Amino acid sequence: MLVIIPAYNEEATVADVVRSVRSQLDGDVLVVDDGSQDQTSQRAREAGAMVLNHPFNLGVGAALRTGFRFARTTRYKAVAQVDADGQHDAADVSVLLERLSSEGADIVIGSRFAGGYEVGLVRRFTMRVLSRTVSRRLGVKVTDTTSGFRAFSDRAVEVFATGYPTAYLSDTVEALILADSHGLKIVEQAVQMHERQGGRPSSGSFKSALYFVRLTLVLMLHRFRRPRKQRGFGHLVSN
Amino acid sequence: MSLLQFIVVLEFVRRRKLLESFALLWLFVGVAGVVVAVFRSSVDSVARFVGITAGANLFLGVGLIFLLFVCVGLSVVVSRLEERVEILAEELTAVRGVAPPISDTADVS
Repeated sequence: MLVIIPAYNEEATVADVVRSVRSQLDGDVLVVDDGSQDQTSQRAREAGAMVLNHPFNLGVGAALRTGFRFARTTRYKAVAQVDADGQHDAADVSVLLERLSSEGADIVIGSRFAGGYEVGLVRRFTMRVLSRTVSRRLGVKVTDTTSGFRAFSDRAVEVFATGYPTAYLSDTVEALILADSHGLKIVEQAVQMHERQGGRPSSGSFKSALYFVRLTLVLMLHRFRRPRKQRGFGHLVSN
Repeated sequence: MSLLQFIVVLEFVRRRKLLESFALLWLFVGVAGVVVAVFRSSVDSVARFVGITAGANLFLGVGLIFLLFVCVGLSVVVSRLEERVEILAEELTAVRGVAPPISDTADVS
């Protein structure tokens, strides 16, 4: 079992997250440091995590893909993703993993909304639209499409190790659609969310709006698009 | 103007700031500019032939469309480069390998 924590300039919180995950679960912890300029990598290692370092900032999607690729070469049976800012409760990771095995699901999404999480008006509208669109596409009700708190089966890891989308902010939604087109089973699980303990939110409102427009485009084009070419990974790498 | 552009492009190529394939495009544009400048009346007659009254309008219109296509083309090139940089960076991450945990004394006690 591997817990992947993508982190970008999260030195204030990453160590606590790593420690709480390690105290709750018997598994390995991998922090993917996405080109942080601060002590994220150092703090994570001190807290007992393995660390992969991106040479410069590539975005959460790329960090996850790096993590998935590591999980694939090391052959983990299950993988969980947790944010480095302390929003997620490490105790819930086992709940997600539980549903992975109990229902034979490939992706379990930890949903904020079922846990009574409040967001602003614009954000709420956006998320509702996304939720509706994605739910219709997948045939499964997903209320929190952009959650960064998820668990993955080894089948999902296999798909995502090469093809995880990396575009800014839209990686989560696109990933779900990609998973669906590979016939992976997606379920949702209600979880508790904390206020972030440090660091900054990853997006301003303008960027969010742009992201929403881009995502709409992606969703519309998705059916007509040629599949992405298999990328040239793996032949060099043996870690 | 076109002559100046021609010279600037050649200078960029000489300083190796511009790849020959892109230079070719802009040199061609320079040559076209010179031709148009020398045979100014020809623009007017071509314009009248395609049904546009003023030669300048034809010139600007064609120029605009041309530049639009160039921009789109450059965007495509940038997209491809971005994807390649991403792949390389991820490969590099993997090649560097995983940094192991630093033994935590607090954990042991």
